[in-house]
Amino acid sequence: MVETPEIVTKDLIKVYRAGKSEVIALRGLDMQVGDGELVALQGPSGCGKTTLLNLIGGIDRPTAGSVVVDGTNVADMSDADLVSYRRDRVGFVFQFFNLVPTLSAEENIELPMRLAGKPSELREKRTRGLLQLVGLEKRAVHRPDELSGGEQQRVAIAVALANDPPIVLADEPTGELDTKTGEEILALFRRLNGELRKTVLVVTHDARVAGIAHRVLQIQDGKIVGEAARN
Amino acid sequence: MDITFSGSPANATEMRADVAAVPGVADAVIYRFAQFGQIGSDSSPAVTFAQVLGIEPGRVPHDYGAFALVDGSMDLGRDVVALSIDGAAALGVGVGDRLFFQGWRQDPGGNYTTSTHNVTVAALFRMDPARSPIVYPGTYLVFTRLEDIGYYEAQLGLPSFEAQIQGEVIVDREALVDPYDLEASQRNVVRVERAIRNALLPHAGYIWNNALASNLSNFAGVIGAQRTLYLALSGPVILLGLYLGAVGVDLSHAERRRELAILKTRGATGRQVVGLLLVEGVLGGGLAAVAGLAGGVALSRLLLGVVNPFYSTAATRYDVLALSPWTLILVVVLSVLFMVLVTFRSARRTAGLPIIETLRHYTPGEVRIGYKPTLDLVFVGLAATTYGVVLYSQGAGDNFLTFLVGSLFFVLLPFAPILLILGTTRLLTRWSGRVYEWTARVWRPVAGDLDHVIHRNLRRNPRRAANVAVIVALGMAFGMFILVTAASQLAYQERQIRAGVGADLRIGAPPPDAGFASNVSAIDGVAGVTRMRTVDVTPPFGYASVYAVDVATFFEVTRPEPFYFREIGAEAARSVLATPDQVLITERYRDEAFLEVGDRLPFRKDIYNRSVYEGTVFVNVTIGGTVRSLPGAEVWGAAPPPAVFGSLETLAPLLAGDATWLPRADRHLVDLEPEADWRAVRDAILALGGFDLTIADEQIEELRLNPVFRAFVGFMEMQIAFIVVILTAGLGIILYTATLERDVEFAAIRARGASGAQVASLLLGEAFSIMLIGLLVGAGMGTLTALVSTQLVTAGPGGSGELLVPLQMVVPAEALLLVLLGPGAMLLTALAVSARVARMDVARVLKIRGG
Repeated sequence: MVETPEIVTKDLIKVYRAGKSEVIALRGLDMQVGDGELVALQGPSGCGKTTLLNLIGGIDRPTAGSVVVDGTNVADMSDADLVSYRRDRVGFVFQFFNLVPTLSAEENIELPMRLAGKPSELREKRTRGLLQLVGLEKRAVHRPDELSGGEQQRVAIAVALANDPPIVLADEPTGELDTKTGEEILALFRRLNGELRKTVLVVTHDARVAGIAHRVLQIQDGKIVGEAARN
Repeated sequence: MDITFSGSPANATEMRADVAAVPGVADAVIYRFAQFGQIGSDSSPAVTFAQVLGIEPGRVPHDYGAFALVDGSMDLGRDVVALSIDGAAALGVGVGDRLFFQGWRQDPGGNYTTSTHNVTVAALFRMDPARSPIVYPGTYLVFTRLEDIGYYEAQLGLPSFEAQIQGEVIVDREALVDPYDLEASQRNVVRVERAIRNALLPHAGYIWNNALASNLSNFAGVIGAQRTLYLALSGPVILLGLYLGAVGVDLSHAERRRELAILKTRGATGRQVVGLLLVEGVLGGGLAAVAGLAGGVALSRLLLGVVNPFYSTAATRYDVLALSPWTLILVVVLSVLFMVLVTFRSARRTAGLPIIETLRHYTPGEVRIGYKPTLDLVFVGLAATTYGVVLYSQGAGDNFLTFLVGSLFFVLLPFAPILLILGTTRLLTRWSGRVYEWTARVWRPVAGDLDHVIHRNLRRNPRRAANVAVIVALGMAFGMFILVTAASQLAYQERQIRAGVGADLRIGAPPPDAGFASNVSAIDGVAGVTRMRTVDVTPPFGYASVYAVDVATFFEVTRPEPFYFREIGAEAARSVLATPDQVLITERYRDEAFLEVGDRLPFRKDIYNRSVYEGTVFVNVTIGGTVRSLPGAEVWGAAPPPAVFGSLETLAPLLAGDATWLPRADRHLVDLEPEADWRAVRDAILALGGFDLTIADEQIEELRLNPVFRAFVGFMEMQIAFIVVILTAGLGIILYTATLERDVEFAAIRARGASGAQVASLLLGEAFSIMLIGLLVGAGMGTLTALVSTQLVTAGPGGSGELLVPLQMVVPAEALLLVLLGPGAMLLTALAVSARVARMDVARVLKIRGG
């Protein structure tokens, strides 16, 4: 039983239509994630993990069901509210980093704060702090094509934390990284959860994530089919 | 008339009927000139010159203009004539009054004697003065019966001379002439001419001019030249379209490089990839040709009645579409060829990209394309030098250096604007990225704190941004140049017309009525009248025309423009003229006759009264000042004339004696009220007996209605409209394709909290930055080029000296509209493209294209 759940999905359904064919990505998925939990989502390809993440992150809308985050149903939000939600409440970390190629590391981190209209002094201070958090103070002015994969992902994590969201969603964050770098990233996620008290949801094939997660949810055919808690 | 002929006076009517019966002849008219040419009346015993024509009843020659019966009846008979209304006014006669013909004959002793013969005026008529070939005042028109000419000549004792009958033929143009089939038209006209020749043979007649055939031949030449001219003038638009097409193809290949790399991972060779893109290019070229041709024709039909302010429904019969199969074939072939050339180069480059680099969709590195400014600096330097040398050649006069160097640079002159635009735009956009920072800063009120993203994105692909900016600049420059040059030329021609007339209206032949001027002043719409006389006297030094003006009214009525004055102003000039025995001379006369202010001009004139010597008058005047010219002086070409101006009082002694042989020797210049109806004023003056009217507004109207001028203006405005359409559509496509390449980037920014409007503002900011650079460079260069052209024309052709009427640069409202509408349309297109990005399905894009 999860105490004071932060994220609750109920009977969540997502159907994709491609021409005349339909793909049911989620078939009535129920899930709860508590405040401050680090939960891993595992399952075979096409089981609906990324779809679930997208729905929770406000990037996509469900076909049916609800996604309640801190008491507010994300599915009912207007487009303008979703923009604010994505900006202030959720930080996304992508498998392929998705940084703006023409901006430096610190400018990429600063971008969400600019989008939020934060003043420059606050932006600078927070950017420096986040660069320190991810250990990239010396690489601040380098552009993504001048950074390694691991460095790019660390910048991406800092970008996700720019507006200090309570929830961090990560989609295969170590998928493009070698073993050692992947471990560094996982350590970072542990810090996010342990020190910064972020609620973290990680979609992953990486078995090592299970080692740092409070719970591991197994998803299959668009439904939660199993759950394991960390020892 | 179309064809003119002559024939024997015997059986003249039968000859005319035979000619009129030829198929294809709409009308035939015959007439005969009388040997005598002077008429007089009881009211005016002083005879005056007249053109006496014998005509058939009801058949007035077309050559004399449009005929209108004013009073009486054209039922002419022996000793019954018709007189033109200006002649009636001059001679003080009306219907029923007596008129006499006067003839001169020389007796065997060499003495000249005159004889007269009385006739009665049965009708008064008016010929349309604008079309009358009679230009000399005091030469009026008299119509008599054709068969009575010999009788009058006999009565006057003139030797019998069987003058030929003159004839005119009007061809049925509706049936025989089709401007869209000149060959057939020429054939028809020649065959009609042959048939007329055959009809004339029995009457010892012959054709001496086929004006219609000549006109058709000239027309064929004009059309051929116009086609070549318009094709050349279409060059910039065609080049713009081709350039845009090349950029678009390049972009489309770049957008698909990942997909093509995947093909290569499946086993496709580089040649197969190139082949695939070439086939697409060929198909695209064919489709583009057909769609472009259809769209272009439809658009030009639509624009024909919109962009041309002088469009007239009177010529709608000849506004048909002329599109031959060969045109279609040629356009398709050229379009496909172009697409193959452009596609091949771009396809080879795309197919040669390493697979692994292109498969890694993220992170695409910034495009680092080496740029060397050398070539662009050369372009700019060459263009600037060309302008400088050409202008220097104009001002420095003829010498070996200017001849040698100037000729060379004149060859480069047409290319100078293009070199300047290319070089300047590329230097601004590729040599340094600072210009993007400035333009992005201009967009800050819209993009907020995101302007740095805009100029960074522009710098990521500097070549693309530079290409687009060049396209915009070329289009804007061409449009500005054409609009400014056309407006400047039109304004120049209108000012030339006004300078030629001297005021709003000129009466070249007023009646000998002392109250005429005050009567004209009283006409509704007339603000003032002044008199100006050409003095029939030769200056003592060199050659110049001499004019006497009414100083009291001259300057108020003519309101001379500043370009008439240089060393002294209008007030000083008026003061000189008002001073007794002082005159003004033109600078040209001063220079040609080596005169100075203060010099004396001793005039001498022998006075005759009807060939009777009455004495010699001497008038000594002093040169009080110089002017470039004054309104009302005869303008010789475009240069200021050599002339002397004095007051009527100062030159009064020289005005005695007949000067009626001089064209417009005694004329009145009329100033009209601002909103006056010049047509009503013209009719009122004609009713008062004024003749040989020249109206500035009428001439300007005719200028604007000139078909060649209208066609040219319409064509150029259509070109500009096409440029705006090409720029708008082309830029829209380029922007759209560019956003496809960056979908994932935009989706990621959206996913991180940007609203659709914020992302759209980034795209719009990029489009705005490029457009601003292109607009500033293009509009600036276009205006500069127009200014230089203006300077070149004002300087005049070598050796001719400066123009009297300066050619000043006029920036018309349409140019400002182009500057606003052109970028406005492009921004709207960019808005439509950015709307797509603003509304994108973020999840789908990240899923499908995010790897």
